[in-house]
Amino acid sequence: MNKIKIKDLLKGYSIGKSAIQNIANMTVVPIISEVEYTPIADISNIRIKRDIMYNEIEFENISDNIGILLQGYTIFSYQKAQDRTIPYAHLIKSKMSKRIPANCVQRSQCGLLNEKKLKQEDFRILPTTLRAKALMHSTYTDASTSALWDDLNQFSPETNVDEKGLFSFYIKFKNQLNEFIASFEPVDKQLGSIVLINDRIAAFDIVPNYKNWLLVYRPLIRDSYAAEAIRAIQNKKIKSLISVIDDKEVTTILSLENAYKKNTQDFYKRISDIIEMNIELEVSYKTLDTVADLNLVKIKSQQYIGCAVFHGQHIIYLSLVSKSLQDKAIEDFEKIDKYSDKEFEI
Amino acid sequence: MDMIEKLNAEISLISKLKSLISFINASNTSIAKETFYNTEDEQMISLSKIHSDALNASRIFYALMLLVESATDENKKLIALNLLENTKVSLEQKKWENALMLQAFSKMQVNRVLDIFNYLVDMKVNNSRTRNLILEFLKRNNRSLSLWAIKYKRAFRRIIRHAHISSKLHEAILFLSKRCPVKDPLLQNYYFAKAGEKSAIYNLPLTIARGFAAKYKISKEEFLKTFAEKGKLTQKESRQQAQEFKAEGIDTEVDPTKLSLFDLYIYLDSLVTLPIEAEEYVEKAAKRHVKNIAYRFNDVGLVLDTSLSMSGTEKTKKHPLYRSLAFSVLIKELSDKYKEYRLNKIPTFIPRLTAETNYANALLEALKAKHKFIFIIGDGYENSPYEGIANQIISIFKRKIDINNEVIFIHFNPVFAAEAKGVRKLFSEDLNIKSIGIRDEKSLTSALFLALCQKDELSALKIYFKELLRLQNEEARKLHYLIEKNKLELDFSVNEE
Repeated sequence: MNKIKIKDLLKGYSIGKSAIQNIANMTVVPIISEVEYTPIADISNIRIKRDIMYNEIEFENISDNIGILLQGYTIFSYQKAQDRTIPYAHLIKSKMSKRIPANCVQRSQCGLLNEKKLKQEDFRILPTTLRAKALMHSTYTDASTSALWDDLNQFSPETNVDEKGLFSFYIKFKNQLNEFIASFEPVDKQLGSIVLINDRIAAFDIVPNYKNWLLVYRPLIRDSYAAEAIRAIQNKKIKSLISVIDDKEVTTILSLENAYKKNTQDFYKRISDIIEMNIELEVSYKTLDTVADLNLVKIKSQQYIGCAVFHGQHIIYLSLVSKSLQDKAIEDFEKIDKYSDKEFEI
Repeated sequence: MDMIEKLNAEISLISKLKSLISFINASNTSIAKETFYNTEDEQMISLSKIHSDALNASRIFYALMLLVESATDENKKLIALNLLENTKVSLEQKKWENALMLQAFSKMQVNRVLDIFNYLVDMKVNNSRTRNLILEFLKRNNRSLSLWAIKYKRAFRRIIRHAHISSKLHEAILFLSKRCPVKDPLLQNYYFAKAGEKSAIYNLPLTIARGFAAKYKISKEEFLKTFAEKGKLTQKESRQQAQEFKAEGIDTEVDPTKLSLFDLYIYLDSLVTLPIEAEEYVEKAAKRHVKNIAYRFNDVGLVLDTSLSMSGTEKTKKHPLYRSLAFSVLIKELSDKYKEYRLNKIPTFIPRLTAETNYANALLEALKAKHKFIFIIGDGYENSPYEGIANQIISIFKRKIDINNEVIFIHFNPVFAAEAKGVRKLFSEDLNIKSIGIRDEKSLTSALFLALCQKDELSALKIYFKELLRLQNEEARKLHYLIEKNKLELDFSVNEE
């Protein structure tokens, strides 16, 4: 197992600070880069070719380039067939197909997908905590149909997702999800985002180029991040990074402007502090697959889990999600000054 | 009237007021089509509810909305359907409503009118009122029937069968009944084109000619070139096809001075190079339109949303932006002093749409300039630095700086949002700043009326109702007089008291 700090994984990218966007308990921090990786299939070119069995789906890459099947790719069929998700990211060679392990996200429904009747462009991406659970309960080469059933039950007990299937959550909260997606906009040169839900980082996501970012934008913002944010709201676990403008000193428009500037600076600082603290964390990684000059790796730490694709030493794809469910968040303990921060010595 | 009755009457009045205001708002923006955020179905369900509430609040007011120039065709279609489907009214009122419908249909796109009639066929609505309405409409459009017979062949045939239209009315009816031959030149050309005579294609309307060109495998280049020489394009077709013709190196005759502001922006943005007269065209179109508008403003600061979400959908690319630009130049024409504040500060003639929506910075700039009116045009989806900060700024400004409420804020929204059942609001209720739907220059009067509602909803609605009555043509006015004479109190008179 190799080790690397998250900030080193993110080398070559920067944060679009002025384009940070926030609604309710969700903050999207754009990850931007001048350099794109273009010899890669569009996400829309990776398609379901055949549903083989409940825990395995055959995907094909119809483009002339290598393709990445996204971690947490999910399809709701609206057929008498089981909705499925893909726990690991995969590399698929050009014009080739690959049998890929899958988990079920619709316990009460049996039947295999009829790929001809699927609206494949309407794929989704699992909410961040379920993305983490999918990785934790499956391996790269093997996945159980039922691996996510207990987690689905925990995800939204009041929606009865466990029995009705994950899509029932999206139906129930359709309006709220639409409001969330409405409130965020892609930014120039954006290839990814760091997403904070409540006051914690829920995910780091990166795709190879801007065109793919636009293709994955709705499934990520609406179906993955916003679903997680809404779940937190439902569980009444809302923490917001925003604060009310301090208007004590406001008497003129100039003083109002100063108060506004102070407020936004504080807001950006809170976000920066959280990100800076988290990117210092070290994660371990191991290679899962190599196709041409691309390496697919699994990443793991106490806090985060995910998949990434390296081109040389540079990350071109990243799905790194927080492991902890919101209602089991790791507590922050108070720092007491009298104790030293000196590292443990043997 | 005891206290409870009074209270009930007040509640009923407030509810009617809200329904009508929400209806006026939606009728200016909603086209029941997919937007950046909502699907077509969501839009339609939401719009139907707004219509049903308005119909229940005041049928007369509801019917008169057919005449509002700014109401979208989609809304007019729904009004007509609801009036024809809900038949429990007096004969006088039915005649009056038919007159209103005919007046409105005369200004609507014909395919929309035929859509309405076709819906009646689907619903098997075949009473004498409906048949008369269809017959009267066709009589009044006798000159266009040949064109409709070839352009909307199937729909038109269904309608004439449904309404038992006699072939004595026009040769087009014979044509549709397949009892040829006919003498009408357009119908003859259609026959010749169908029979394989390629030269006849170019005497047909563009859309039909395209179909034949594809059938006879005429190359796109050859077709467009010959059509530009021999065929005839309407102004709107010229504008819509300009880019395609240009790509083939063919110049079409678009006269920018005859386009509406909205169409003008679409046209100008479709050009590879902006003509040097662009600003002049826009200014002239704006001047032409504001001539008959009574509202004037002395000092306006206008905050213009130039974020990415103003780009609309694939089908309605940049339409929210074009609407906003058209509205912005009209406000400029109506103002003695005017300054525009774009969110992204990019000063190009047609704004480049970029990323996040930060209203706060632009609002503060406008506040510093001490304008009397601050208008905000945008979709209301604020996200930067965070949602709600513009609301905080205006709230503090009103509480601590503009204590006497001298500055008037209005939010104009060019996007209908299904989840908001109208347009999305930017400010909280306590600030009493309305969010008003806008579509194009035609919606300016309605939008400014809605702005007046900020001060007094009931008075504003009364003025608007009088304006609606004024819009009736002679025929409708006479019939309306009969209703008033025989009945008659307007169902809206509750509000007028």
